[in-house]
Amino acid sequence: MKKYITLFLKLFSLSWVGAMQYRTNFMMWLFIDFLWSWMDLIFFMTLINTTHVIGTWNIGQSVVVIGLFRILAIIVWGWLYPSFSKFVHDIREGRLDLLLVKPFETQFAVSVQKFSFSLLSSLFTGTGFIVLGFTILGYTPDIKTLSIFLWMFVVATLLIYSCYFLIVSFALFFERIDNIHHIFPAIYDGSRYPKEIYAGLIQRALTTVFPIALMISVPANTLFGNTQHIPIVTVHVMTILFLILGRLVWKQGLKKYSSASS
Amino acid sequence: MKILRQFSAFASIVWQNTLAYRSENIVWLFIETIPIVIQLSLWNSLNVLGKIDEKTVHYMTLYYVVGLFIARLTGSHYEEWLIEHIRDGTISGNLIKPFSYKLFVFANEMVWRISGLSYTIPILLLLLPLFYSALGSFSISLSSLLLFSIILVFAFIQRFFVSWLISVSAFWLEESSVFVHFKWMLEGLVGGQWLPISFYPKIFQSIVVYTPFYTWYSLPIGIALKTVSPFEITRGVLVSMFWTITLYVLSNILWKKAMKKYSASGG
Repeated sequence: MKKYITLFLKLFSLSWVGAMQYRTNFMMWLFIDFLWSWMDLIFFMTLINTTHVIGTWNIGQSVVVIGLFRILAIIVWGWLYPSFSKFVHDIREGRLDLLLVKPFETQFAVSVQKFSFSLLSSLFTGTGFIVLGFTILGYTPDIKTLSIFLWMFVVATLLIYSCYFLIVSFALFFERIDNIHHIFPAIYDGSRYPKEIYAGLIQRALTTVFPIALMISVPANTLFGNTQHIPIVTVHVMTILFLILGRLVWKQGLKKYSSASS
Repeated sequence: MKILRQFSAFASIVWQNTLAYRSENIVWLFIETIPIVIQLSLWNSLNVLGKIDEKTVHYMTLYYVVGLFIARLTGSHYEEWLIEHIRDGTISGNLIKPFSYKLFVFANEMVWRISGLSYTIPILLLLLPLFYSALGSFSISLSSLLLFSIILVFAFIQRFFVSWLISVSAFWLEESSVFVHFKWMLEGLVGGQWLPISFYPKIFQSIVVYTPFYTWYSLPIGIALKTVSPFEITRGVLVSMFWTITLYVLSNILWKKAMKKYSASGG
């Protein structure tokens, strides 16, 4: 365990050093991320000005959700996207072998190989949006609500990781599929809407087969004081299932994988 | 004549590539379809809740379906690899060959778009239950279809040149890929890819109609759904022609300057 913590810290600090080497570049990406946060807010505010609600959420709740969406975007774009896009490129260029022969658990090595810090501005804009949302709602969550929310935030992070990892693991089965790492971020955009907007089969698919409709809405609902057991338990079960499924696909993929270079 | 021969040779090679790497094409289609499914679900749910009427939900449904069609047919996604080729110097090999590199990239993009369309039609059929009821309110005359097609040709050429400008800036700038994000934001917000521009304040609408982004989405969708007046169409066509010529000239100037500046060594 200590070995993995050390490796994680080393890779994390290497990414930080890499980011600080090109500070202008780093600042530009911070600014881009800041703009994306505002684009999300402008889009939602324009939409809700016309529709007054989004599913079961009112304007204040929607702003809180956008804040949460931005904070969880740090996980998607700041951690998983850089690591998994490198993984996909490594497959194409035959560099994955170098990683596979190293004395580390391969899933771990692939998952934490690169980080991007340009998403840091989302931490501030996201928090700001959450505060703004609660100000509109005129409500402050109590300690118990916050504790449940924090736990659900951790579970949602694991669910995001497991879904993303499962998708990119399929890259091992294809000769060339360079854009597979773009799928999850595209799907992730759908998580900022309440599951109630999806009808029938789509809702069932997005809460079970591919549970993006639960990733943000369930933690957000706990923040609004809605702590119904069924959605909370569902998120836990889905997280465990997807972690197992991702692992199985990864193992099978490695068996099938033949290097592009050797 | 020589250019046409070269173009068809490039197109034939790229066509084989699109068939060989069809899984990538399917992934792009999937990625572009997801936001449509989300938007259609959202507007249908608002109709069920009684927040918007049937007419609005049909309009919004057709808006996003036509938008998907336009995105698939006119989008340019080559900046990422071209910037990488410029940065790591692998572009050098192509520059010494006896053909126009720009023509090669243009043929590449065009063929990928056409092949992408062949995947779009089956997926639209698959999504048909989501927009079937809205189809009843859709009709397009032959003249509108012709105008719609011409605007799309202009849109494709403009988007190609914008991507070219972004990519070529990599000869000078370390991280020109940030401009790709600006392009996406402007396409989404100003172009009307996320929401119809009629949702935004009047002052904003009066400015965006003079940008190229407006002619990429809002204008062709407006023509297809008959929401733009003859005056707006005429103005849109003129704006589109102006931007096509301007972007063509700018991309040529920048490319020539880049070629003068560029130097490479090694093999």
